Amino acid sequence: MDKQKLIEQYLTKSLTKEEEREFHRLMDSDPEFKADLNFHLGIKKALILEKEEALGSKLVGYENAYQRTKSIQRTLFRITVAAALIISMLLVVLKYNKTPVEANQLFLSYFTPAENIHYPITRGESDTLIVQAFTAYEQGQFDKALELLLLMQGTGQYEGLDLYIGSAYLAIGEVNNAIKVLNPNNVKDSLLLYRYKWYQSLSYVKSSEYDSARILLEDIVAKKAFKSEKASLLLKKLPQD
Amino acid sequence: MIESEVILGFRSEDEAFYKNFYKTYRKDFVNFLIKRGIPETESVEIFHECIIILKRKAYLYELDKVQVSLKTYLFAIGKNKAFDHLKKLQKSIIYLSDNLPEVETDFTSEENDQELIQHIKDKISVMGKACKKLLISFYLEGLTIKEMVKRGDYENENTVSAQKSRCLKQLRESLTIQKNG
Repeated sequence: MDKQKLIEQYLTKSLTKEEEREFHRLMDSDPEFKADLNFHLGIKKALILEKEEALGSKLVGYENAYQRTKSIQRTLFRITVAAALIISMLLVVLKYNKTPVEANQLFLSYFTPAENIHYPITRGESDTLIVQAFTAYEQGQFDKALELLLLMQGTGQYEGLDLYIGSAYLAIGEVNNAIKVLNPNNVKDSLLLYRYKWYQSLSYVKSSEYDSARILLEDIVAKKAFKSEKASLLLKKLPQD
Repeated sequence: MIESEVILGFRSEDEAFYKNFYKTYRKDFVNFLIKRGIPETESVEIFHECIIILKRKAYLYELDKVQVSLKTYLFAIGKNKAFDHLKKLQKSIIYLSDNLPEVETDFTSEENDQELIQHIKDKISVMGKACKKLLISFYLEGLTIKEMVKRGDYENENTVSAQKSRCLKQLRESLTIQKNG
């Protein structure tokens, strides 16, 4: 078997089983063959070392490039996050700053506290709770009026208080409470029903829920009910939700 | 199994191949070592060592026999290197269960004289370009004389054989001179 060929096959890991046996036999018995193999292996490993050193320097360059890209990506990410934050904040400001001013102005243009049609205060009125509550209500002391009206409602002896409680809530800016109390579905009296609808529509205007307000106002206008003329004017001024 | 294109890539100097490999595995590999208690800078160094080991194994025809995926093999080498690294620092590695195979990462599996390799390396570095190119084609790229001719680098097989003999003779002689001197 050609010794040189055996070495070449060994270097490319392509010895057959038979060649492998011959290779090991020569390694054990032929010092010249072993020295020759070491020489060829030495060349191969020396060349590999040279290539490895060259690759090592390139890898340092790749890492530097990787770090640069990472840093650029980090900066871009920060810029994107910052931009997104600014845009979100602007949107929030636009939604919650601009609209309430507009909504509040509309509300104030149309709101007057619900007229007391249930409990007119006369000299003969002996119920001091009614007198105190509605005196405060008519004098615009809505916090005090609300406290007394809720007290009256707690006794279960008085009817129709929701309209005034809702109106007082609206007057002091507690819109969500007003919306709850002024629910028209709870009203059986058809004459009172549109008063509730009017004040609830104003509650929706104040909370910028224009679509909900629009439904109620359109109903008032269609039925030519309580405050239908004002409802018609307000409808025209409502912005889109 | 590692694809033959990848093995050829490691046997080559192809910049695009190495850049792509680096980009593909760098993050996962470094995170893999960080989880085992190795700081990032040292993990990057180990990553570099592992790429060099893969190149060496490609030249030594060891990648052809690998039965697992390239990533598994790379991470197995990485785990070994991390273990060696921490052993040197007398620290212990954080054990995380994995199914990575054991991989031999030492250079010399056969007996070989490091001094001889260094002498040969020094001599090759001062050899002519033609000799160096021939030696690389033969020892690293694993080309046969026929393949070298086919590639168009040489006129015919006799030219290659003659040049190879000349180059090896020159190398042997310079080594003998050095040894005797």
